[in-house]
Amino acid sequence: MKKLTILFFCFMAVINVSYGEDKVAIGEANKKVKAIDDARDDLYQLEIKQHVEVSEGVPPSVVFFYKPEREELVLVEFSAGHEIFSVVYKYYFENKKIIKYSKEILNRPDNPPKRAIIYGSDGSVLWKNTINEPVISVKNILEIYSLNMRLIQDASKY
Amino acid sequence: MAKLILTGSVGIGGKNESKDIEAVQKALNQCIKLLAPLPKLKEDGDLGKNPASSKTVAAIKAFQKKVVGMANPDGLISVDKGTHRKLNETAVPANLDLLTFPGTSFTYVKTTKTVEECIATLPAELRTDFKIVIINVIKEMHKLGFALGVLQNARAGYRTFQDQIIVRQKDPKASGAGPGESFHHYGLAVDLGVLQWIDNKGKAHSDFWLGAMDEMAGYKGFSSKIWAKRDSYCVNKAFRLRKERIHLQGVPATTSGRVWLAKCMSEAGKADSYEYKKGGINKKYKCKVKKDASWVEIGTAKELWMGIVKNVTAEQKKKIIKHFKASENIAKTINIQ
Repeated sequence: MKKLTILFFCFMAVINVSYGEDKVAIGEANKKVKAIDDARDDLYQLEIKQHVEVSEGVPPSVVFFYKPEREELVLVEFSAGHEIFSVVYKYYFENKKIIKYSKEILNRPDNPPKRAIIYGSDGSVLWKNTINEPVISVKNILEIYSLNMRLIQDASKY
Repeated sequence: MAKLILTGSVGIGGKNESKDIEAVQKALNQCIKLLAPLPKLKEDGDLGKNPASSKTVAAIKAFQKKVVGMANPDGLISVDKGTHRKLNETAVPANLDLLTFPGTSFTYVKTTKTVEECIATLPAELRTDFKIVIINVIKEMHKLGFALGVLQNARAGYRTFQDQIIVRQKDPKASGAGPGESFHHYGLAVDLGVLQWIDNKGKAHSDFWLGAMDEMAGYKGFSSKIWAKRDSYCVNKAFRLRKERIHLQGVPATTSGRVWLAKCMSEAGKADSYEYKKGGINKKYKCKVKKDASWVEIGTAKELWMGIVKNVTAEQKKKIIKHFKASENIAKTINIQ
């Protein structure tokens, strides 16, 4: 019985440490996200935008925000208008690793909650609400960014 | 249903108290459609002499395989374990008449809204031919158990030019059409969403865009089936836009609202010998005062609405604004082929 009690407390201690570590990591991730949001105006942008003749809603667009030095991608923002409301997806990065993904539906009368996933440094999910995965995989986002940057660079050769 | 409460396990190797067996039989009967082709169970609280060969245990195994997703069903329901919990989630009140959506295994209950209530949400300004098509869509979807209609507080039906400005002011990222450029002005568009649907527990949902449905356990992927079914009743007389799921319009999706705004303005300007046409992708409009004059770029629909007209005299500006404002009424009746 005594052994069992000791085992139980050890187990709870491990759980508490693990929970505490996650809490700290989530706090760190949120700090990094805030720093990126704050620096947004100073970041360089690569934008893909659709211009169409026929549309009730604003056509989708994507903006890649990157640091000028080494062209490090830090934020990707998709937005699309749907007549009376719009949807915005955001991906936050650090060193090519995802920190946070969020989906926000703005101005829809039923006012759906903001969804998000916060990731650990190893890519594991630390926290999420109602969504399981990003609309476009992180791998694809990074590939699209790198392809488009290459396209821009190649196009600037003479 | 009332929560399935068990005092002990039921099934192969279970405690098999008669009251518990009867409760399980009732719960399984409430989701018997999911266990097809199994027939309804007798609710007698008995597993017979050999539980393993009883119909109740066969139904437990079928439930474990089809609903719980167990590869090797053990035919036992233990208190508060996976099968018990799933049975509580899945079983529905006995008095609910469950419907199964065509071509799927999604179950739900018929809406409590009448078809007349749904039709009454359509705006009076809808053109007759288009309205007939939309009423038919509403009726067919109602037969399937869904209440479709137009949400009254979302400018989802007819819109004035002013409404379009308000929509854009509220969220500039939302609407791509300026005043006069949307088919909502022509009585030829509605955002036909779901006013009410009822899940297989009997809970009613006001989920116009079906956004909540997509996040409900057991309903993932259902919304796309519902929209596709709605579209199937449009029979090439109402058209959806690729990126606007709930929007339906009475003209093909490739029809430009800007071309038609220019036509309405030209109609308004006929007496003054003014002609209009849309410009390029910059969304500006062009005006020609006389037949032999050249085209002049006068601004976007939003600018015209605000009284801003470029490259013209003060007198021409007055006339252009008059034509733009008159086009709002012309849009309601102009013949769009």
